[in-house]
Amino acid sequence: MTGYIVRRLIALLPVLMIVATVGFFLIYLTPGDPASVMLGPDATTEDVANLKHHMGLDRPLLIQLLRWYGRTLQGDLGYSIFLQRPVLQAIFERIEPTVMLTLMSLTVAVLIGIPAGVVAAVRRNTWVDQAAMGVALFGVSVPTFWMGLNLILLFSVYLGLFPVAGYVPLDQSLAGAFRSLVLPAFTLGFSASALIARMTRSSMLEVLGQDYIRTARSKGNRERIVIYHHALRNAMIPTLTVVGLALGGLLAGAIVTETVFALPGVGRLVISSVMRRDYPVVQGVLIFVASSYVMVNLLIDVLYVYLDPRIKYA
Amino acid sequence: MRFLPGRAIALAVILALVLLPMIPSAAQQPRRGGALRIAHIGEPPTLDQHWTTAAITGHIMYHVNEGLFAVNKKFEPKPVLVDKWTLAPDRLTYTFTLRRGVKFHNGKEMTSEDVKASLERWGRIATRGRSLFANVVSVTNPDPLTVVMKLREPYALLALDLGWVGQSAVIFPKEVIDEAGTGMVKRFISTGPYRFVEHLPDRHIRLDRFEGYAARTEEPDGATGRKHAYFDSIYIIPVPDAAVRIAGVKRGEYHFAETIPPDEYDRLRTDPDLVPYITETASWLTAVFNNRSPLMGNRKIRQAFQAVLDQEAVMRAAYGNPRFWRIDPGLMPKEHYLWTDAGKEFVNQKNTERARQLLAEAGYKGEPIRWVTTMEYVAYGTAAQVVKPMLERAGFVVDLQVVDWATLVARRARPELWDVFSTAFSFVADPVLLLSLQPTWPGWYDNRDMNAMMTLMRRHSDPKVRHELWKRMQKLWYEDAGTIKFGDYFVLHLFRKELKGYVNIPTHVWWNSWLETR
Repeated sequence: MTGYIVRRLIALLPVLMIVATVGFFLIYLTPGDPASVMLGPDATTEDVANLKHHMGLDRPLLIQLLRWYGRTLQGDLGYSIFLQRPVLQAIFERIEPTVMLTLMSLTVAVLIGIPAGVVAAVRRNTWVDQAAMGVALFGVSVPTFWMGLNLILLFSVYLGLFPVAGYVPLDQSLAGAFRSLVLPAFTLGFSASALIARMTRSSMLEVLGQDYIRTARSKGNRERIVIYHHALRNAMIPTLTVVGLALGGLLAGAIVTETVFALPGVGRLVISSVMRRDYPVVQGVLIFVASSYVMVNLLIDVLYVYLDPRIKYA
Repeated sequence: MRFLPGRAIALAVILALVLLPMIPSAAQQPRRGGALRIAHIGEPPTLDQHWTTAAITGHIMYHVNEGLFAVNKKFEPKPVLVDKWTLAPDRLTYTFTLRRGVKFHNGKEMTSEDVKASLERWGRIATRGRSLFANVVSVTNPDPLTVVMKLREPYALLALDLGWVGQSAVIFPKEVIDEAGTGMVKRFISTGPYRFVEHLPDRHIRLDRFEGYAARTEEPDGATGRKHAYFDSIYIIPVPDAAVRIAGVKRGEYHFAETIPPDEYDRLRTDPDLVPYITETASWLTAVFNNRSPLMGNRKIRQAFQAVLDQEAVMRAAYGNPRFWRIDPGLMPKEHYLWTDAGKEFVNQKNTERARQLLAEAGYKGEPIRWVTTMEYVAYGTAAQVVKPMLERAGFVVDLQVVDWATLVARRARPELWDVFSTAFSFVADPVLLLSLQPTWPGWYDNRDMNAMMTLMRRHSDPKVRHELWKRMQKLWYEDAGTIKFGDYFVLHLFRKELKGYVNIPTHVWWNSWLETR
């Protein structure tokens, strides 16, 4: 098992290399540059050219790429042009709201998605099934920004239950952090729950048709035990895969959600950095997100072993 | 009638009862304390006011930084850090006597050394500063309270340039400037009524009252006169989504929201807790021509573009409610002393026939006009989309390129890449500062007569002479179709009723404003 994990971690390197290179070209080949953003709309062409020269952005692309490789290999993600601090520090300053948001949304997604999927499978082809799947369809179809704005209108403006936007750091107030994340977490979690619900339903249906379920029932087990102990555990493997995928989706969805709810997270950092052409930050976050995505997948693969002892990695 | 003292007294009492409520009550008295929370559209690109022309940096740092001058309600420069100033009879030597006892936020007293260092840095890196300093022979400081500036040629707008809000010539301590070297300043210290406390990107910028502030004694007027910091703190919070900014003000989480879509005006007006605020200074929506491109460098093609426009349709599509826009020929807004309608016959012509004829005379053969616009500022993109079919009816072929703002700014710097681009010009206090008349600014409008008149405009301070001159300049600009002015527009901001004393001339002024307890 340890050998397997180490091999997977080594395999991470080429992935990161590809992400880094693609990321480098994507942002550098996008027209626009940090100098003109920094100097503002009324600056003259000459001023912008001077600043670009000062920043070293007028050097050949290949030289810039090689320099960047050199730094990245030493674990240095560079220095943010606009934030005036190391990229890694900028990311870590923003990580708390994003991690909290992701965890809370995942909780929402799982708490809605798995029970809805189970109920839909057990009551197959009844109105319950149709209702649950209808809600799930609604969840995937609705754009997160639209959903977010409506939740703000209902729960913040009319009912006054949650703050409109912004984030209270954990070390200031645990309850405050929680309250500021309820609406965004629901916005994100709801759409992810749809995917989980559908996957849970179909894998439950498959499992419920198996012989060992009939055996369990014929032994006189109560239906609750049959469904939650025997069926659900075996139906969890495909569901878990989807949960892992959803986690990646949540990171991407966080970009929109963090912008709507004005959360100072990594997603928001990416958006503003792309707008400002803050090259080092965009590249740094890309590497960071790619590695966390790969790590989550690795974690899911490891979890399989605990769910299904028949799975072995050599 | 006999005089009845009893009746007189009774009358006096009644009068007093009627008139008393008309005298401002205690509730109108400014109240010290509280934290002002402002929802702003985003993050400033930098907080160094010498560096950037971005309005958002000025909005924030204008409360922290001060310059030698600032402008009043009528956009006249008035002294801020300067006590007295004189201009020698040769009109070349300015002597500024600084105010005594002005403290920086670090407790140090401001001297002429700081002023000299700040002005020189501003003259090195700011766009406006560079053009002013091209005409500066020397800046010297014979004693701690005196700064002498010698010019090469007389220049009428020196104080205005030094006091203008955009990329302002604010004063930093000399050590802050030395520390910055060729880069940006690392500490944000000046002499303003609020001091900079922290900047947590995407979370907030916090300013606190500066207890050591040395206020002037004149009545407040625009950005000049007495400044009181009533709030303990000001938080500037980036909230990118306009709908969320509105919701936050409604809910009471923010007191003030920057830039609200004008469409919301009628709905917000009915809410008794809210004040929708329409700015008084007009900006203008524009399409800038590339005078260096083969197509738009052709005067007749530019004139054809101008002839075809239905400007009301453009402004209605871009800004909706007519409260927020007007069609006006003046390149200087109606409120300005130099306003003129010279060249008004070229405005809003809706003359497709004339355009066709001009295009034929120009020898236009259907080469695509590359128009770079953006939806990041919705009005720019909307205007371009409305104008496109108007142009096509006259025979233009339009290649509309919708890109993000950073791309647009990068592309406009390269004359080979574009023919027209969308932008807006914010209010400036003098024609000398109009970007569309600068041969160095993208668009490169360069007319010998215009440049000669501009030189005169820079030298002369007599309002009558300037007005005559300006009429001719504006007329020439229209004849030339140098750039298109679609119309004036006004910006909508929103605040809660308990915010009192807010003014917006020429930008947000939150000093002298306070929060009334409810």
